[in-house]
Amino acid sequence: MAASRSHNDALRGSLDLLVLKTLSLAAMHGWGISQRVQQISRGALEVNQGSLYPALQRLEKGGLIRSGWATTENNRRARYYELTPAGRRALGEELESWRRFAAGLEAVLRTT
Amino acid sequence: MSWIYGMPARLRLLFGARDAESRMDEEMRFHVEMETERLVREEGLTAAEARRRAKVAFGGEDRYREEMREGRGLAWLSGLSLDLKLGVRMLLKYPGLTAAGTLAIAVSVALAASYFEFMNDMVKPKLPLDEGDRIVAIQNWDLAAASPERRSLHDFEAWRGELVSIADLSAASMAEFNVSTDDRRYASYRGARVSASTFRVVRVAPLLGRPLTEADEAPDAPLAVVLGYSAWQALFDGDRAVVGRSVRLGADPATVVGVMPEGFRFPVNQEVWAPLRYQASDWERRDGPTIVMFGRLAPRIGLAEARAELATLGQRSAAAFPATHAQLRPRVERFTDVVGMGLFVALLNVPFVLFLVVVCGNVATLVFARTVSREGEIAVRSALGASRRRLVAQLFAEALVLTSLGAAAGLAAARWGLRWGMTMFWEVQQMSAPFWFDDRLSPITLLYTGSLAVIGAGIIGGVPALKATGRRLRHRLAQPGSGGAGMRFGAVSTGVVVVQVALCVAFLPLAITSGRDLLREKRGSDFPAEAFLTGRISRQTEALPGAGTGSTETEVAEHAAAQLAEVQRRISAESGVLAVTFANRMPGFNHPVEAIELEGDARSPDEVRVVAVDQHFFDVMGARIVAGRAFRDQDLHADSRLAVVDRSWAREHFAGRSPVGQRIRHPQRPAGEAERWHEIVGVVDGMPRAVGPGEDVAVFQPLRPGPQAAVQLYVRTATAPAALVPHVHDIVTAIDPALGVSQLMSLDDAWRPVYRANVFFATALTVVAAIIMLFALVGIVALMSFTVARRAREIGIRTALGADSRRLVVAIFSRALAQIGLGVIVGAALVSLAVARTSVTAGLVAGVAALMAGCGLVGCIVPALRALRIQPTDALRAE
Repeated sequence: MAASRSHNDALRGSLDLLVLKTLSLAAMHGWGISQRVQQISRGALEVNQGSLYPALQRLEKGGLIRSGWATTENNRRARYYELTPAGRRALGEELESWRRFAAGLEAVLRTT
Repeated sequence: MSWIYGMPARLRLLFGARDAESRMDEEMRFHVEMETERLVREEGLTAAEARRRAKVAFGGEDRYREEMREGRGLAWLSGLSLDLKLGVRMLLKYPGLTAAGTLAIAVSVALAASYFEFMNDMVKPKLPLDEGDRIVAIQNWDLAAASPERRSLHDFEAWRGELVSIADLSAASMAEFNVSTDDRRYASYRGARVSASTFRVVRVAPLLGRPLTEADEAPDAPLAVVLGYSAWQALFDGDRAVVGRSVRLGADPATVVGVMPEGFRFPVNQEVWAPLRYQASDWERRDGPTIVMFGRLAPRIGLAEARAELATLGQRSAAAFPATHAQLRPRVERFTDVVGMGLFVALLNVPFVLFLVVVCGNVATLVFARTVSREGEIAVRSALGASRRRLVAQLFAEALVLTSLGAAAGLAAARWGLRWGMTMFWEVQQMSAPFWFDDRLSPITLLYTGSLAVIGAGIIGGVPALKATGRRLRHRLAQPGSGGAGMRFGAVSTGVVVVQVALCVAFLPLAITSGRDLLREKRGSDFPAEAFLTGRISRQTEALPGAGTGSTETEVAEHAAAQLAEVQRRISAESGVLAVTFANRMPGFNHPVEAIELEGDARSPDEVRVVAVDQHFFDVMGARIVAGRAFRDQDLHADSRLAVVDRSWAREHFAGRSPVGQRIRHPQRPAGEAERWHEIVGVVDGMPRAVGPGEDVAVFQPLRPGPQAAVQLYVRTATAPAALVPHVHDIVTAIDPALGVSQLMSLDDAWRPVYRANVFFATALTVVAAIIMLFALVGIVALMSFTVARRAREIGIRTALGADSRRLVVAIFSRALAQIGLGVIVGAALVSLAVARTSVTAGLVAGVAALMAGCGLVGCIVPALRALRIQPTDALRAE
């Protein structure tokens, strides 16, 4: 139980990070984000596309992103997400801590 | 800071549930469409295949929806609303259960809410005045007599100058005012002589004119009077030019100086205010008129500080005047505690809540039986992932719908019944309600009712739900259709049956007897009450005895007697009048009982109702003297110690002996009077029914007119009594303007409130009794048949194995009888405790017990027969 929860948390944390990172480039709708995440991770992150939406809602509730309806280039209505200043700050902090974590892990793996 | 950015989204998600849902739908649809198009475009799939793949890639849509709903934070709320919807559906599906449950809960909630409201008004009233909770009353408490000493004029004058913790210490002396106008309008009002500061204490400005002032209190100032709103309407038709008009208060001319606004009836239910002009110097300490004292706590002073200050003053008085004040302690209380009617109704709300619990327990039993039939559904839902909390919440919500429905109906009934009941209550008390009384339901009562509904839902839905979703639930999935064999509630069902039967056995005979007694009074009354005119003749008490009038008490009494004789002579001379008689009170109205002691009888004193009557009373009322004699003219004096007793009372207390010549006395009367024996001179028959409904008078004594006491006038007429009303009034005031007649009406009208109250209570008793009965019967039948049905297979198998069916039947029935028997014993014990003074008969108790037992057996018979008919193969196959 505890193990599966921590696994979920890790996944959730990384998904959030990916979403924030993706949105730091430009405002995007949900499908666009999922395409982008798959592109940049080169398919390494195998998650259901649908799991993106609860994450978006969570981030919006947390004030890291905000959303609004807009028209796509194909003239369709879609909901676009963008970073808030708080989200931008959070992204910076998250990236920093992730890098520290990854470097630490890397160091451990190299020495053992 | 991020919470600020998140706030709009939070609010939108929280309150725009519908928007959030449609937004979610649209986003997901958009996503799948985009992905489908991409797959068609990039991988050349057919539209159908692309769509399928897109959906697979998206994952379980419903799961994400649910996750988002939960993320919105109000998932439980939407769950609750779903549960409530389901609850409503369930109620519609079982209309019988719904109707019975709603009715039962409505009745118990109506009772509980009315009682709660009434008690709140009685025990914790709020004065509807500016900062009314800072108005306090002060009274001298006599430690020796354990009662208040209200003849406190000396203390009032002393404290008024000294007290600093209470501002504007004021006094009021209650009085009955006979007010007449120049154009000969006349009415009698409850009023008060008040100190002028009273109007500062209450902070209510007059509607017209001015309040009383200190100048009005001077003995030689012209008499000023302030009228209440309804007195103003009745006497002056609401004429706004009333200020300055002259009226008479009894015999004294007075000037109207002001009119108070509607609803103002301070101190209790007063309508007329005159200045308090009593001087303490006219009386000894602890003598003179009775007053109530009140004032406002000074700014920033609490009740405790005022109490401390008065305690000091009290000690000083006790030291200075030991003869009169050694036993007196001044007390400061909330105004309504002291100046109320002295009604200390210390009953708690507990009986009503218990009643509700029992009713709910009953409904719970029925709901439980239904829950059992839904066992399969519950097991399946649990298997599909519904948590126990979720299942219990649903059953609770279903019950909450039922109890809320019942509570709403109950509140409506309480609202209506309270208004009725209160009107009746004050009518029977022969007084009007204190001004702070309010017959609307207060918010606290609504809150109370709401919590009753929740508690009820807990009992009805929660308890069966917890049982039904208990640990055994999992095992039940294997055999969902097995008729609830897995669910046990033996102890609960036994408890419910026992309580049920006990309550019925204890309560029903009592209700039946009381209802019958109440109604019989009306039916059995062959007394021509409509041919009587009655009214109360009272004297304005301006000149109190001992206040320097110069006349002795005997002279005053003789004068009063002569006046009454004159009233009688003149009214008798009117056309249509057959006879005139007097009594000291109207029997049958909230008539107090008095302890009585029989000479040579060591038993504890009996409590009886005593009425003082004149020499014509029995004759006029059509009663017969069956032994000895009635009172004579010469009996009606202050020193006569005679009595006439009621025949049925005498029969009970003088077994075989003739009461005539025996002696009685009243041990609780004041010293000097308590020791004196009264000789019984006659026995009267045919009186109780005629005298008043519901309250039998046992002892009659000669009427001795006193200077202050009001007397009740009875005029037997040949014509309609109403026609006599103006004449009677004119005759009485012509003899002495200080005499006034109030409540002049036909005896029939005077008794009607009591009749009405009796019919109301009889009806209420009957309804409650009928509902208890109905529920007990339904509950017992349901429980019995449920219990037996549960054992159907066991019985079938035992029959198959050759068990004697007669023995099986005996086993089934003996369990039922044991439960009912226990209930009967408990109920009978309750009855024997409670009915010392009622006419509940053993036969009635036995009848109710037999009915209960019969119903229990009926409940057993059908399922027992069905069980015995089960084919052994069927029984075994079901296993």
